[in-house]
Amino acid sequence: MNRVKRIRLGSVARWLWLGAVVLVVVLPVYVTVVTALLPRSDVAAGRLLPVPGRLTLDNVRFALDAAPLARQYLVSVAVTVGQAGPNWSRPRSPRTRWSSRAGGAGASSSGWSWPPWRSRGRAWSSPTSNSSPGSGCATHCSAS
Amino acid sequence: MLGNVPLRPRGPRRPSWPPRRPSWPPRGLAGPLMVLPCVGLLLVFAYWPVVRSVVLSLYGNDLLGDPTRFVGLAQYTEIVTDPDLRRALLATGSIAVLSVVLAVGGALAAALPLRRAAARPRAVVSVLLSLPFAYSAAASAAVFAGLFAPAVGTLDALLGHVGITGPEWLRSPALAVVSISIATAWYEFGFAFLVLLAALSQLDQQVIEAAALDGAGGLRLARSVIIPMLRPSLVFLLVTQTISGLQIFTQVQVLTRGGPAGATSTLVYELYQRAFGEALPHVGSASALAVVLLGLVLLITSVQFKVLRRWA
Repeated sequence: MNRVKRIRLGSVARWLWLGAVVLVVVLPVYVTVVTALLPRSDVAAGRLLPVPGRLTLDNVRFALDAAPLARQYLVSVAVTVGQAGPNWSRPRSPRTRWSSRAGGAGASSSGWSWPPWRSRGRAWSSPTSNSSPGSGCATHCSAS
Repeated sequence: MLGNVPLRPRGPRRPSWPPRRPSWPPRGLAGPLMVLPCVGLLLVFAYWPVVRSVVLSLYGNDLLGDPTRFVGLAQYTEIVTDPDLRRALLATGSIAVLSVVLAVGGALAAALPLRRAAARPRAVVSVLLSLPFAYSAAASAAVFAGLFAPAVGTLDALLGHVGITGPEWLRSPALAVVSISIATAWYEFGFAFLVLLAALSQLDQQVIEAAALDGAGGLRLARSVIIPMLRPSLVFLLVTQTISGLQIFTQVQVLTRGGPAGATSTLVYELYQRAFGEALPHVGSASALAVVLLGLVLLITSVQFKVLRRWA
């Protein structure tokens, strides 16, 4: 009984602590959203709680009018593609093609495989690990 | 005699399938050739600027910032003796240490209790706590400018509701350093939290269960089992966050512009001011400062690696 009580207390304390952390971390996000949706007079007065009737999209409209958001967005996309692009466009190596065609997932995941024309009559096994799953161990093991 | 007898009957040669490809690039050169474009980009965009900075730091410059005459180490001597730069060094160190402690400590304090939470609430809390990672440095600094603003700031308004007069967050020299550290820590918190959350999900549960069976629970389990298992991730976070703390610029530029009275002027901010912030560009001096900063980051990182490798 005492143990159950202790566990419940621990759980309550944990969630209280997490709630406090979430409050601290989310406060700037909340302020961002509320400031974006409140009229300027309310923001200047330091009001934090949004009143449903007073919410407005004027700030969003102002931002769209003031800044060339479409161009800025395109620049951001271009930079992102430039950063991540080389990984996407990396060609698959012939070894990977052989692996996916003949060696199966295990052979390709072990990073080594024979091309198919060299594997005829040969048990599918990796020189580094004969027992790696899916690398032809079934064939190899049953043969031995 | 035997030499004239063919060992195998000569017949039509079997075609090999698939046909042999011409051997280009040669076997030994294939790797270096593939690496070459990457190395070229690194040389042009990563190493050449460093070399150029070192060269520029040894030259004076004209009104347009172009190098003129060789001055040797004069600009380095000026850096060492300049009291403003000593103050900038102190501010940089204070902000870096405070922000790293707040970000990594806070992320650890948030990630550890989440380990035992149920899946759905854990997912919700994880998303909420990773939100700072979605902000850019400038956007987060702008939000904190609103929070710390004197008189109309959100924090002062919140404190006013409970009858406390808020301090001058950005006007007092000591508090300005703390405020910038808080803003930086909040910005870095999301990344640190995600790294620790991923590391926690990869921990060996059997070890934790064994420790729990042995009677370790709560804080004891975290202190003696989980945190030691998280050491590699903590070392990674400490090193990367220290480097970004030493290079802090955006928060200073948006929140205080180096004030009050130069109390929050960091090394990178000082570098920017020398190169672009004044009427006459001091490119040579700014380059010398960049070289000193690079050396400082290398030194601190290598010491950290040496000390933390033993710990990890």
